[in-house]
Amino acid sequence: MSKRIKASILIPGDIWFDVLARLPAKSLMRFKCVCKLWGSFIKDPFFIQLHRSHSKSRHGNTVISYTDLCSSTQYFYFANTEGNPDPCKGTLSMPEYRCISEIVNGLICLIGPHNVSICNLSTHEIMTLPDAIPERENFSRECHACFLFGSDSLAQIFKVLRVRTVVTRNRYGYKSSRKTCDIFRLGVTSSRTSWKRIKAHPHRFPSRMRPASGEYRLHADSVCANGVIYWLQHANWQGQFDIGAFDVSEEKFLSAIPVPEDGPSSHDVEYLLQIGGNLALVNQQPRSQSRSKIEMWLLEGYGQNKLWTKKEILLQQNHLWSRMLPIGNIHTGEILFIPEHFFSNSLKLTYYDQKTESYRENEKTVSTKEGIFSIITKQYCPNGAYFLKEEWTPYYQTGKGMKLIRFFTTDGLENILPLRKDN
Amino acid sequence: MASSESTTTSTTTKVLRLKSSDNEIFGVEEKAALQSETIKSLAEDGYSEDVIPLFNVEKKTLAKIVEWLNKHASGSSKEELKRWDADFVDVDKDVLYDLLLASNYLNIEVLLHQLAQKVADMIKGKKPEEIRQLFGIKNDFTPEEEAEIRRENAWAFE
Repeated sequence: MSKRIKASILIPGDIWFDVLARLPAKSLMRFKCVCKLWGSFIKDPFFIQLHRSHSKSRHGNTVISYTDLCSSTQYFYFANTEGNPDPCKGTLSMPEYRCISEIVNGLICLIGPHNVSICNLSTHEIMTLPDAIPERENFSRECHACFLFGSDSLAQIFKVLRVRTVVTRNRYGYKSSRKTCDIFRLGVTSSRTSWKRIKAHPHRFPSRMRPASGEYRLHADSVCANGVIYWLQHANWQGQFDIGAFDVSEEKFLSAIPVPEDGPSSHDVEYLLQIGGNLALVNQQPRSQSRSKIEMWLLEGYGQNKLWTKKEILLQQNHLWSRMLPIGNIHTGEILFIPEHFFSNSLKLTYYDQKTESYRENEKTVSTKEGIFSIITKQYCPNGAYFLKEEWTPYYQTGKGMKLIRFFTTDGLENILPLRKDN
Repeated sequence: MASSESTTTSTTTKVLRLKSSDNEIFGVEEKAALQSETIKSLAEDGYSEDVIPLFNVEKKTLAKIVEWLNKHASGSSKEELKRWDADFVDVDKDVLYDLLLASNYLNIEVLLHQLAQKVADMIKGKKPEEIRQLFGIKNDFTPEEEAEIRRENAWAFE
């Protein structure tokens, strides 16, 4: 018997467990078929947690991802902070979608014309949720729905919340509307395979982006931070807004959070981001006003004692030709900025260090497809029906030949959570 | 040979005597030796005055382990230790597996993690069939089952 065979027989399962937890997700997806023992390790809930915590210290983590919203085949690309493609992640081919969520602990939610899918960006597994978009029941009814996607603070349980509004008319033509909330749950323990009706009712949801009758869509501007999903909503008919919140573990709507007193007025362009695990409200001053600064409010603290802290980010002079949009923070805590418009192969990634209030820009440019003028922004909902500001709409409508690219930042942690139970 | 160099460092501190499976005795300062949970519990069980028998570790492996224990008890700076560790685990795979098994048996957590990371780095780019051959792992999937897993994870094989 050769020496190496001897060693292998003696290497106990628990050592393998520890070795495998240190491998990148791509290697694990390949090693699932080595033997049944390895296959069972890779879907073990404890293993998944251990692997996630080890992925924190791994070098060359992917921190930036982008997806081209307009091409007929939709791909998801992965890159490191320099903008170089990450060979460890490959390129993910996505099902057809109209709206795309934020990345929530390595998972992303896609709303397609006919169905809703969840995609695990580490394992490339895609699951289409059953019955997410019901058949139009009855023509006398108007029906629309919004989807929210989030996870608990431990990244173990993921939930898709569907809020449907059904408007019915009685025989005199009077309208009445009824909202129902359903949850689809995915996670290491007891993944459900169906929607579950919950009793909770949203206070004023959905309002800021009410879909047209018969439409189903993702709440494009929602953010999940620390186990709570947040979204902007109209607080009243005067156009003021506040922030709706849903606790993912408790499956409860929380009371709406008022925007900061010195916050943006309803006429400003504002949106939500997740920065360092906290909710951030960003005010990108409109084009006509000062373009040299971005205001940002961070919601910090726990429970009921959350407070807004204001930060002003002064933009560099050479960024003024095109507005710089904050995308999110990377593992170093720096915030990634991307210009709103850029020419292909001229995009440089800019990072802002909150502590030193300084920028750094990558020397290299990100290689995107050639010859295309591109727009990127978080606010676009790619079916063209919804924008934060109405004056932006023509951009999209006349944007033939333009590419819309959505950028994401991630914490670089991998999550090998299987979406289907039998996997 | 390895026994003499570590015993001469100090006469005042307590030295534990470790015996390999092939009867070589290594003297190790108590402070260094107790990084192993297994040695610690054996010492607590009254072996500390006597020779501590380590039936599962051969002398050439134990010599390496003793080297590691001494280095990690020497108060070296973090940076130096990091460089030293990188060199320490840079060995051929048979030595690596012996060290892995020994550190598992001796329950030296820090070393075990370093070695596990080294094995992980070594195998991460390999194909499943190479892994099976390298470690003598039997493929207990049917050809259909294996084909199914490969099909579902085709991207990982590119």
